[in-house]
Amino acid sequence: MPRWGMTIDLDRCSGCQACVVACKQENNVPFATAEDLDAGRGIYWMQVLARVEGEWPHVRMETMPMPCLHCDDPPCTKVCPVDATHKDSEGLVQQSSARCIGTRYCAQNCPYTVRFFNWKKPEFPGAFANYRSPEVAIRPKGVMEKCTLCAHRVKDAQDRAHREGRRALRDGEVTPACAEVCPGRAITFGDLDDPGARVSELARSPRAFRFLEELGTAPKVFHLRETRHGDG
Amino acid sequence: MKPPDVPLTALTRREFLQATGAAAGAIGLAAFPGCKPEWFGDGERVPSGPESWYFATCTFCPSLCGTRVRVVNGNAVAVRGNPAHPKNAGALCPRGVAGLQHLYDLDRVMQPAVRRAKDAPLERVSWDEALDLVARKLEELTPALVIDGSRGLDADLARRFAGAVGGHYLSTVYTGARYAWDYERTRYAMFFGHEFLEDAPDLMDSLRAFAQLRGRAKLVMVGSRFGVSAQKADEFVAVRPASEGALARAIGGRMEIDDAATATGLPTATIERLKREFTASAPQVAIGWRLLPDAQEALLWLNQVAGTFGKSGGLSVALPPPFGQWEEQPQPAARPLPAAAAVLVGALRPAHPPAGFVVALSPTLDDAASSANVVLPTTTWLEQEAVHVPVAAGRQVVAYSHPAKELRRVADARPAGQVLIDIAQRMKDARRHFAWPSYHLALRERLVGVHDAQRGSIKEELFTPFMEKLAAAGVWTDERVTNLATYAAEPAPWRAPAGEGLTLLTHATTTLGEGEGANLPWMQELAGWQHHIGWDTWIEVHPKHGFASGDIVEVASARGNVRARVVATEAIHPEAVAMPRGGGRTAGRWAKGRGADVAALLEDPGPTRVTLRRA
Amino acid sequence: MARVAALALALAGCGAPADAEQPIPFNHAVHVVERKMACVECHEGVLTQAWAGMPSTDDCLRCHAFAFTGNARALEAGKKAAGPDRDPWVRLYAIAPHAQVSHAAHVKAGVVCEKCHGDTGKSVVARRELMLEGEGLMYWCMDCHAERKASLDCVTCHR
Repeated sequence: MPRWGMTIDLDRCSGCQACVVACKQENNVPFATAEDLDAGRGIYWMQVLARVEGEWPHVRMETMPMPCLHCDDPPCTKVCPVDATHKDSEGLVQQSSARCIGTRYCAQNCPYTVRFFNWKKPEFPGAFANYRSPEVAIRPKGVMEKCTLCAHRVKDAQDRAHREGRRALRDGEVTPACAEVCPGRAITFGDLDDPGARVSELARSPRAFRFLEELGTAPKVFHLRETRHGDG
Repeated sequence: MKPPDVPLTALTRREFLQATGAAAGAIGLAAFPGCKPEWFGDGERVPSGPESWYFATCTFCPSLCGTRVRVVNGNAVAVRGNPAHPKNAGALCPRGVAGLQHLYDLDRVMQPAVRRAKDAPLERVSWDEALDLVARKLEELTPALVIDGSRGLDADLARRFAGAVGGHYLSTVYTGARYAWDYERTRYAMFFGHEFLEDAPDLMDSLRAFAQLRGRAKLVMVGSRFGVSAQKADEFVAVRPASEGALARAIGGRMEIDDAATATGLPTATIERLKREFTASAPQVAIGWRLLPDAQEALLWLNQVAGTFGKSGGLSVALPPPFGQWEEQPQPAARPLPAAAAVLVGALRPAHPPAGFVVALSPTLDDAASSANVVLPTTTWLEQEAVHVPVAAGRQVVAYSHPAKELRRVADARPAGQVLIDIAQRMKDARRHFAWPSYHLALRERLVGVHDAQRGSIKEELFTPFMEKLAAAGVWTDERVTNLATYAAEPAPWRAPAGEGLTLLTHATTTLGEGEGANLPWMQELAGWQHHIGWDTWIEVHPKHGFASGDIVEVASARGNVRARVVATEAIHPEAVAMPRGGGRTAGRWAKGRGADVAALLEDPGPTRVTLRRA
Repeated sequence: MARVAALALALAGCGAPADAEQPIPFNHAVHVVERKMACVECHEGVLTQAWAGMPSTDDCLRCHAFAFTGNARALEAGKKAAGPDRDPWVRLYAIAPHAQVSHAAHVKAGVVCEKCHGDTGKSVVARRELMLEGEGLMYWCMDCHAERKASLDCVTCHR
């Protein structure tokens, strides 16, 4: 049984937003209007966080792509009264919109603020309805949603491998939409339990860290910290 | 085989939980404001079905990335990179992905339209009526000015059209010398005032180069704004605004270090170190973009001194591919002539709006099209057979786009090149220069040359199998490298630019670009992601000027004034302010009135000095 | 998992009608029972895709143009109504939008068509012979998944 995970190399991320848009498109997340943004109600299964510190000219900036980190010990699943969210057998923290009754407890309990509530019915006005992806259901109003690590792609790939008589997927065979488009190839996805997989190699790198590690949530999405030329 | 009996069949689970409140956690749904049963539904799903993929070249910017478009049930449902394309190797920038919102733009022009009187609304007409009218008008009102925002074959035909009608030709897209940067081998790259991760002549190259070079080469960003590019560089060199030209001269040995230190505000030791590093780290490259002409010349010269032209790890220029030549190219008028008519080919917003009778060839009712006398709907890059020449270091590339037949038509649109042929064929004199029965055949003539060259990634004796392979691969490449003999004159001594006040720095964003993304909601919402701003234009101001984030200010230059939302930040030189381009459009339902058009402020050649006033 | 199952009270019903007047009076029995055609000959996605696929009127004409002309009028009507590239059929099978069932995965696992579609193949007038419907459907799915040691993860079907 694979244990899916991801690494995001901050040395290769340029903050270009391609992952954010590809994710929205792949997963039928509607665009956020100006009013949505003002109300803080935009939905981003993948987003790039940014923070600036210091005084000119000694300024530092941090940028960090942030999908759901798919914690091994997720705080969000424990508070769902109806079991609409849970960690599945392959380690992915999944959200079932059909079960969700919209208490938003999970969002409250997520230290990474990567869970989003549908405050309104997702809108795809006019001809925009044409580009909706058939792979992922469009969630109704009133339920939570979040990054699935493109579980639908994983399942499709597993079905395909099964048809070809293979039990397991090859490393790199399945790629989430964010990783697929990334110009810097910053995002790697794969089986953390496969020691030969690229993702587990990267997760073992001395640059790898887990966001807010001290909380004990044990994320399966690792970030690789930035280096400067001449470091190490 | 009957389903097992289950309780509560008359109620849905949610109704049950809500009605009884008995289930362990269905606590007080009523306590959530607005939480009513009609909140809940099953959502929706788009039916799946047979899928097909086709290749298209994204023309939103000069990178010309190769894309694959997925079609299900006649609709395009995804745009992804073509992994076999040397330009982007499967990657895409956000605008490329958002191509779907361009294809299905709610402001697509569905059929030709004509404005009968000055302030009359546009009226739908047939293609024949529109083309006849345009041909007649262009014969009456000579010479016509052709303003062209298209790329590839469409641009070739637009230029030819200008020649055929004896008019002047003006391109609004970046068509400068196509340097390719051989970044895989570079050891030292200096970016002068160049937000290389947001605003680049070739954004895809820039994004990929950065990721490949990080840790292997030293990346130095010289500038007055600490943006993503400065953050991601190995070193940020903070200089006074508009002083990049001085540093380039000092590094090249054309200016005293002390003088450069005064001009840039840098310690002399820093300049000496940069000079030493740059000189010792071949292959090295110095790149600037949208600098003052003086600084741009200094950089060209600096690269020449360092020997970065035509060398691996440096800059090269691509030779044109072995296209079949069209016969007898009529030349456009060399200088702009007073024109009574203008033909706009996909020109989003020309810098100098034309007067007189205006024909706009455009896929959407954008700024230019919405005020034209005649609007002729053209296809977007996602629905057009096309040939493009992306520039990739050390490679000759010909990209061929061919939409899948399954893709359902969105509008009664034609490729811009086809429309130009259609117009020319209705004109007495221009006709002979556009003798092709169709755009497809003009395109084919180009590709015949590539076939005849019998080299590169596709070699076939006969043309038909060559075309089949080209369509299946989407791209033809050859390893032929191109060397450039360039000569850059030694720059004149540096002079501090004139003017007082805050220097306005502008940059494109990866989302809005130069406005290509303005009517795409995904791009609007993410435009100012680093400041949590969307759908608006902001201005980065140092806190010492007394403005707070969120203030609305009026920004005034000698040329004009616009309003913008303040971002008070330490990440900008106190003598500068920075604003993104691509906002403030006058047409398009998502673009109109969103933010401000910074172009209204810019002085040519610059630098542009501005003052701020609380609005 | 027990907790999940205990809460699996309902799955919203199907939106599709049980039967409907089709633009072409298609007779499954003639094709499947008499002519021994396999389902996949018209539902071409079942072996390789999530979707089964409905034949277009052009698909019908592949055989009918030379094999059988008795119902040419109906075929013409259907063709006119829908155009050659679309399928004119009224869908009888649909599951809730939040669920997706891959035909290919089930066929590969050895689940025969009749397991879910009952005697549809023997019907004269196509009607939904659904073995699974509305409330309780998910129990039915999950029992079979458990029996066959197929994945019980929600995301297997709900995506």
